[in-house]
Amino acid sequence: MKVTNLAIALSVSVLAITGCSQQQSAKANKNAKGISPMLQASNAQKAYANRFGTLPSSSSNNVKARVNSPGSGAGSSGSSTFGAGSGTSGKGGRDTFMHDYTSPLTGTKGRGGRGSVTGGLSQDRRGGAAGGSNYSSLLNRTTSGAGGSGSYTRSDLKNPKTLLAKKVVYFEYDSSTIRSEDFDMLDAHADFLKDYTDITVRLEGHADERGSREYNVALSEQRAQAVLWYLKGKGVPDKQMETIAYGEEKPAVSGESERSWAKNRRVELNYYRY
Amino acid sequence: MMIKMMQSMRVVLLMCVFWFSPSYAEIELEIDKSGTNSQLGIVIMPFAGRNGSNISSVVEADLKRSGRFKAVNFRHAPGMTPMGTPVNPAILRRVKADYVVRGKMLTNNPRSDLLIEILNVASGRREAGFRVANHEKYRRMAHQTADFIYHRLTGIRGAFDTLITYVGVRGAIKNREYHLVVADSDGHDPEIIVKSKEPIMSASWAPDNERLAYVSFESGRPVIYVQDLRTGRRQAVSSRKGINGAPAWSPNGRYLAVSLSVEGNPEVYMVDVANGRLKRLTKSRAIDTEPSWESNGRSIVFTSDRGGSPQLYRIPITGGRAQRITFTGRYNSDASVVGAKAALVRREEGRFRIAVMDLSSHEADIVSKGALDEAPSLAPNGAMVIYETRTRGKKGVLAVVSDNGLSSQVLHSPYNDARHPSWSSYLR
Repeated sequence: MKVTNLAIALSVSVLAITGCSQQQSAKANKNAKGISPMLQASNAQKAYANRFGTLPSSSSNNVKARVNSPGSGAGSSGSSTFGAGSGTSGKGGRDTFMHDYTSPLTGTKGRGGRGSVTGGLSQDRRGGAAGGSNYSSLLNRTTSGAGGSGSYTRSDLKNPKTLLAKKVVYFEYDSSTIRSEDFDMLDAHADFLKDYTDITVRLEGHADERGSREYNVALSEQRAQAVLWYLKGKGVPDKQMETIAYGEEKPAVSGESERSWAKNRRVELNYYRY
Repeated sequence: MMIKMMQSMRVVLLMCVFWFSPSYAEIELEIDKSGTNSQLGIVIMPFAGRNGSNISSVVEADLKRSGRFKAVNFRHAPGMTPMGTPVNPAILRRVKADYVVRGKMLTNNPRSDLLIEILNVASGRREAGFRVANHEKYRRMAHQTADFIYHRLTGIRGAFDTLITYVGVRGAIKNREYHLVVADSDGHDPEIIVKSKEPIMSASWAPDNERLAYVSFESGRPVIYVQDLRTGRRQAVSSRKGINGAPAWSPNGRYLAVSLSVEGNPEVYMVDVANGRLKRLTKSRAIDTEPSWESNGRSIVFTSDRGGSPQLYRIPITGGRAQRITFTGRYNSDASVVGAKAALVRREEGRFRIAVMDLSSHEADIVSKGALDEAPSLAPNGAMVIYETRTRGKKGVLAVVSDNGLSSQVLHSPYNDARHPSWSSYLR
């Protein structure tokens, strides 16, 4: 009994100490909401981890399993790419199927999800709904939205029946945390971008009119970066995303009310050439 | 002694005068007379000669805007004779003001100089006289006259013969046009120097008044430009990845302090304008932006939220530790530094207002009355602040408030949405 009490005391104190030290470093950089700017920007990373439960590195095994399944016509050429996946980034560079990222919070390197494909794989593997949903189910993720993920055409960007037609995410005052209700829509954009590697999205961050203008530019950049990290965590390569911070200079609506301000605190996903 | 009395009193008086172009009616607001003791009463008699009365009107408007004078209508100086005739002390001493100003154009020639004299009511005698050189633009002669009177009677150098820049926005939300405008310090004679379909912001005057630095999104991303006002030519000074913002000229005109997020988060850097060389000053994980140079050219005041919310800090240009300088309230930002003073944005109970702070004592007074006031810029004498505010019916207007808070005026501009004002140095 003494031993268990000691064990409890030890584990509690260890938890307390690690909790305290985390707080110390976070305290140094708190913004008005009490969350470090670094933490806010990487909340997207955390959301990813929370959602899928596993660290991305373990998912590479699952993908390998899918590649080796029978019936995939270009399986041999495909598996050679994936076979190289566990240790290296396959064909090299950012255009390969497996895709590296580094978590800004923990510094751990991991493999992203289904990336975009450049040569070497046949058409039926590229952008197919089958590939997308297999991968999704392997990660125990419930896909939602119209028609599932992965089967978008370019014109779907303007199709009001798809999630892609929605191109704005909104934020709370003084916050750059992505709200959970926006996850599905962002997932759809991630799938789209991974399918069409020639398309770049401009993530345009905005703030409401309260406060000084250049400081608001910086806040709006944090919002755009939060969206970027979310999409990156879903496997969208850096080269397909651009962030631009407009601060309060380009409001969507005019008016001095909470309602107007809420509509201006946003990140717009803008596609110009698709 | 008059000057000392006036300076030691701090009674808040709100005097708003809407300044419209001749096609609009003037709107008068209530004037609270309780604070009039702290201002010098002055009668500006209409000046004689070509453009004479135009000039005296501008002089009167300038002195009113300064917050240190109460303009008294000349009908309160009955029997006062025009300049050139001798002063009758008995008549002068009956005037209900502290000073009377008389003036006249020297000749009928359009290139004529202007003669001015200041009469002291208490003594019944002429106090000072001066001659203003001819300028093809009569408004400049008027501003120089106002500068002389202001300096003579307050001991502070006048800043009426100066310029401002601002960004005017036209059009509906989906179809906006942004104009970078240069105008006189009272808003008159605006001139568009850049037009863009994308935002322009944060224009800053070089100390020689010949160049402007500003941020433009014309290319689709923010780029800092330096534009020569004489030639209209411009060069891009920074177009790095991320934010390129908040340019501020050093007192010697050689450097721009800027905020760049190229290395991951917004930091303050110095750029050598001649060769583009960059030196990083701040090193924090927070937002560091809105730099403003101190007059000795050796340190920079900037906004940082490293302490949890935006506050003002000071850092030497040699680099090193940043020192916090605002300790009241949870939001202090966007400093404009002139001499020992800084104008800044302070949030109090949810309202954003302009405050003027003494940099040595760190004491500050709120000088504006709105709820969404921002973008303050001090005049080169530190005695007036131009800033952005809102009024009913307009999205953004420019206003000038005196540092003692006693005068507050909306500035004339042809835009319903005017922002990012910046005050030039003295025009030599």
